[in-house]
Amino acid sequence: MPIVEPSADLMSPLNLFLQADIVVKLVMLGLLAASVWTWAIIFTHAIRLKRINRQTDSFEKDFWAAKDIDAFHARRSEEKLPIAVVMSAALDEWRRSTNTAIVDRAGTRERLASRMNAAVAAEVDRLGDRLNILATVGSVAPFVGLFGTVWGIMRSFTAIAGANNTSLAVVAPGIAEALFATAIGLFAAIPAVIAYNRLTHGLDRLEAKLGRFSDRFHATLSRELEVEIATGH
Amino acid sequence: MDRAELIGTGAALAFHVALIGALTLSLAQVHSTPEPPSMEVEFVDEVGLESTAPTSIATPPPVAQAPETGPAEPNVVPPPPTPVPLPQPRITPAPQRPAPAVRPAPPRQTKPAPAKPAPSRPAPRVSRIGDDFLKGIESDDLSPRSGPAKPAAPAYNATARASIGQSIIRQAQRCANRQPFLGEGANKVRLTVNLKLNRSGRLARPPAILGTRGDADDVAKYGDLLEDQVRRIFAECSPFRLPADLYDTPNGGWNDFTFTYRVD
Repeated sequence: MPIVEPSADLMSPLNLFLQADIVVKLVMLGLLAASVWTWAIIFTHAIRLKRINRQTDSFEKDFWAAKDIDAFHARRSEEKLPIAVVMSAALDEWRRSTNTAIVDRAGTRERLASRMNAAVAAEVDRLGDRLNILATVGSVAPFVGLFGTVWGIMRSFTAIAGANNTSLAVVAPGIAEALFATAIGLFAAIPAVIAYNRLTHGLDRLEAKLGRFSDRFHATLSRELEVEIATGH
Repeated sequence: MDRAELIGTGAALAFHVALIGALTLSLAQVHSTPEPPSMEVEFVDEVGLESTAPTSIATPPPVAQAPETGPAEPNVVPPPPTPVPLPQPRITPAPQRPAPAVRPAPPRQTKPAPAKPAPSRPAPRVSRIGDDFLKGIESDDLSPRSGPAKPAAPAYNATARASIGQSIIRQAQRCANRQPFLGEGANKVRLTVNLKLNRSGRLARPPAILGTRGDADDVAKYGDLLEDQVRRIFAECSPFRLPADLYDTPNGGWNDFTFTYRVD
């Protein structure tokens, strides 16, 4: 009677992958790709958010400490920071509105506010790009993995019927391979969900920061508007 | 694609490759559970064609047979016998004394004797089981059943060989425990050991190793060391106490005993 020696690397992911059915293989490959993509997005956004937060803080500090806003704008507007974009939008609107002979104060205020709000929204949108992928992977990957598992287990049971043998040795490898699909699905989904929540929270905080900046800047510009009208500039 | 994206994608790829590599190499190895304590099962080719169990019943027990009950006796009541006509007393009054013979008898005899059983009642069935139906049981042909069975001579059969082998291994275990553990896999090699024993249980000759079985690598690695160990084990524990009556029987005995051994 041949003795079946369990190979030592039965749990090796490569083995599990190679022994699996073609459908399960496709599921595994898809989930692996999803996992790589998820982590790429996580790393990218984490790095970017951290850098932007840090630079925004220093930019804001410099901005409020600057004596001449126009000179500061000329110096720092090249930066790709969201806060710089908001500032540029506001100053651009300010110049256009105050360049005319008759300055409509209320209209200028309104236009400034809407321009800055639009700039903030656009920047947050740009930063939040692809976060929806994390949400999708987080919610769908377990189901895809489950699909692979169900498929693999169905195949294992068919193998039982074919072999006329119900011993565990017939079913166990197939079930192990099939369960590996669910494992990959969870492996992709769990970090995706955690990262989605964390990155969304970070983005919300950045948005709030930009909103506070734009409100404050709007107030400053509005005050400036009154001064300029009063002095008849 | 800016710098952060490049870094992020690269890091993700590197992370996955490292993870799969680590899992493939060693992290997820399933250590096969150690072999459970061995239970030696020997496949015995020679099987006695005749049972060696002592035969205690020489003759088959007599067949228990109930006596056949025959058909019931015909329910015919015999007709009451017709009263016998009384002998007429001799009336010849020959002598002087006629009376004593005649006077008391005649009236009694007019009553018919069989008239006593009621004619309507059926006659009792008469079983054919006689009073003597137990008579045959004590007869001579059943005596072996109750007589003491002759104890059979111990037979040197497969069971006896197995138990002698177990006994030797058990007695040698003390010495086997003293041997150093050679390494993983050494306890999976089985050695065929031959012992020549005196009647006292001592080794008549150093133990002989007839062969080794097991994984080829293990045999190559530990074969010689194991043979030495086995020789030492059986030499050290040498006087084996074994059933004396099986030392030498017509079918063989433990004077020349071969068995499979595994250093545990």
